[in-house]
Amino acid sequence: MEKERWQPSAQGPIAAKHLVAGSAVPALVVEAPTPSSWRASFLAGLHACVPLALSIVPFMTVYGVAARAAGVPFWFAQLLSVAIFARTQLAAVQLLAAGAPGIVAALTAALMNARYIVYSMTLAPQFRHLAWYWRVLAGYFITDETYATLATRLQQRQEAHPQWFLFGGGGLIWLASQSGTALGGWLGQTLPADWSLDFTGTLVFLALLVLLSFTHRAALVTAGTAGSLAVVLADLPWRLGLVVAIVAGLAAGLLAQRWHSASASAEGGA
Amino acid sequence: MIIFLLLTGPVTYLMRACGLLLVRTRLMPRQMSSGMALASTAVLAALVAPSLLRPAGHLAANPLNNPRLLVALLVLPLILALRRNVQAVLSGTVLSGMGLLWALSWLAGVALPVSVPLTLLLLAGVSLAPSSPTPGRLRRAPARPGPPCHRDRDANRVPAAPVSRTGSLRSVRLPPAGVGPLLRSMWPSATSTHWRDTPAAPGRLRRAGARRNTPHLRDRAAD
Repeated sequence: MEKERWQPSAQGPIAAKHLVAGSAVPALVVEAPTPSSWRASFLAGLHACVPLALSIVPFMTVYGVAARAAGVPFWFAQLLSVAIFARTQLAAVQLLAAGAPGIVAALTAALMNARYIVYSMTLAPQFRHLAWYWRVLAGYFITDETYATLATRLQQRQEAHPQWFLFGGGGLIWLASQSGTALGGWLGQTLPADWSLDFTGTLVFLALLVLLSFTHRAALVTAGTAGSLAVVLADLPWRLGLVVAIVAGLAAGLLAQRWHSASASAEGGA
Repeated sequence: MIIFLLLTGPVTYLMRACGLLLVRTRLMPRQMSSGMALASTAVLAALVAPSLLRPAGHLAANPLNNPRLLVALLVLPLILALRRNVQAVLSGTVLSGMGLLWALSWLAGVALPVSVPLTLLLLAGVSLAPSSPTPGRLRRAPARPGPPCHRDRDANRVPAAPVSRTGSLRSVRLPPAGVGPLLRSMWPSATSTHWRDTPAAPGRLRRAGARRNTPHLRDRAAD
């Protein structure tokens, strides 16, 4: 049997060269080496998330500052950061500052977190062999950052202990997130209120909105509909205009997406 | 209020864990994942628009009378210019936006404050951004299918296609720089070949195009 050679590649296993020695013909499937211990997986996750964890500190600092500017107590901002462990607490805090009821803020945050369902379902096949308690624990550590790193990792090689990879990366992200929140809470307490620090949250959302909207037409339709309706319906009681705007924007975006898919398939058929 | 907000934590957890706990093999339908990606866009738009256009509770659509709206309009080109690097966009927007707002306030007669610690932190975020995994890495791999013998094994891996549709912070594959490519990526009928590389392109089309361009498969098709 000919010896197989595996060449690691940053582009993943699909692009990796699986060649028989001395031949240019693609060879049989070659499994990449897997970490043999949970510790190796944990350290790999930790290592992969170091730059992301460091860059998340400023974002969470902005959240802490915005929370203090909105009059949210320091302990509550920190508790919210632990409980939600996402970036959506910034939206909730902004809504509270604008006088929205707690249920509207919670509903908005939950809607923003809907993407985690996608993450979780995408990772599910990799976790199906694990015991239920591992999956219960791993669920808490699925974030944007850990999902990106774990998905990249799984594209490159089979991971024997994906839960430990998640614990390593997610634990570091969690520490960075809480540190940033605490720092922001301290800064928000120290800095004067007339510095308009609450505007930092709006700027962050504006940047994210532009990034998400300018990707395809359905997103642009969603943003336009939701934004304009939110302005028009802002006087509804209990900030219900916000919820209506979100639902209407989502419906408009889905319609646009469906229309585009139908027209694309019609073009393909022709 | 506190109860509702604290309930958001368990709800968020359930969203994260539902797939791991319930789903065994089936992945989410593509349309459903696309819809969830749009939810983030809708929420952000509904949050941003009133805070910019109704900062004091009434409509103020004139940027000359509304400094926040003016600042938002001024930082838009910066966001579009830096859009390939998410961390740079976030940090650059906050830095430039707050700087502009403070400058405008100073021009209006209010003292100009300088937040040194916050600025340093945000700058640190900018400097760290290039070392973060870029979305392109997640996207490029599935666009290059391996030989047929690898395909079955690759089917069990985590698909990267939903990544770009989730609306996550670092997983958004953004159009190339420049206004022209940006517009072409949104209105793909102008250049059909570019459409296959855009994030909104259906995976079926992208895969088909990549397969046609794979030499050994093309040769087999010719045979």
